[in-house]
Amino acid sequence: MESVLRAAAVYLALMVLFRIAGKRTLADITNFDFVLLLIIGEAAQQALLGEDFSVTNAVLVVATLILIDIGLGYVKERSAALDKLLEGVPVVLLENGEPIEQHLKKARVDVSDVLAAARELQGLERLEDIKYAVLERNGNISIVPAEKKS
Amino acid sequence: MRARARVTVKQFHGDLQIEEDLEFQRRAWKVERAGWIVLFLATLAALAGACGGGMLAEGNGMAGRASVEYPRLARYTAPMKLQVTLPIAGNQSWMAVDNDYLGRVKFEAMIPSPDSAQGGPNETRLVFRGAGETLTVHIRAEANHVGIVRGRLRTADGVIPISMFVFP
Repeated sequence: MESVLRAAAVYLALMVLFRIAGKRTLADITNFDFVLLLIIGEAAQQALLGEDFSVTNAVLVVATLILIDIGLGYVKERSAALDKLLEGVPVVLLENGEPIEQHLKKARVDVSDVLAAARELQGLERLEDIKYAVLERNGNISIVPAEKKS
Repeated sequence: MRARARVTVKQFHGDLQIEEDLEFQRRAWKVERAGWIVLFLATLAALAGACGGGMLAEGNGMAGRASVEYPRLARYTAPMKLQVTLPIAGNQSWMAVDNDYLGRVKFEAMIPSPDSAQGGPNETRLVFRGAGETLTVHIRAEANHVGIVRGRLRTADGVIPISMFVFP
């Protein structure tokens, strides 16, 4: 029973912490972010397993985590409010080449991030080439290119 | 055959069909900022020992020449130290710990080791050999119960209550 409770507690704690951290925290991971992610995993591992390193315990913990994730996904599908609460909503960061400063600041995204996404995803060179830049629910920036003037 | 539900996204931003909810997003940003402050304060409190292992966590009790220093705030299965000072009479000193406490806090090692241990229905009496006025016993222990843990340490000079909170 303890393993199930441990897994549920760690899942809940991580969900709250990452929700507080914001969408952009581990969206485009740098080398250091990757190392940080490993350290977070290592720190959580001890709390998940305790002193029981048996295969049974590991399987039980993994099964609990997967089950909670599936269950939560199922509930989110049925409750738009919960889905919004847990996953957030997309935010438009730039419209017709004009950055929306307040959204950029609050979402901790700067114009260079938008330009980088525009280059990577659409091969665009300038802000004016972007019609919309959207910070998606998963923390990634998506780009809609402006229509080319003939 | 089951009819397929049509999912519609009604919101628009310009001609972009998107489930944007700025009011919700603004509230979410506020909660996010408040969360950062809470995290910052929690980290400061943890540094001060609010989660065990610091100034705020230090507890002690006294009865005559006997005293005990223990963590008031401890963590489940994490190692902790207790330091008990006992009066010596006739090269011997003793303490009796109630069994409920021993069931919730496991004594892993003791320096010096007791000469004898005598179990009873309510408490376990540990007898040490020593010289001088008082004897200090260092105990390495770990809590195996989450929540409030209370105990009693009976010595020749009186009873010292112990009260700690164990974090999960």
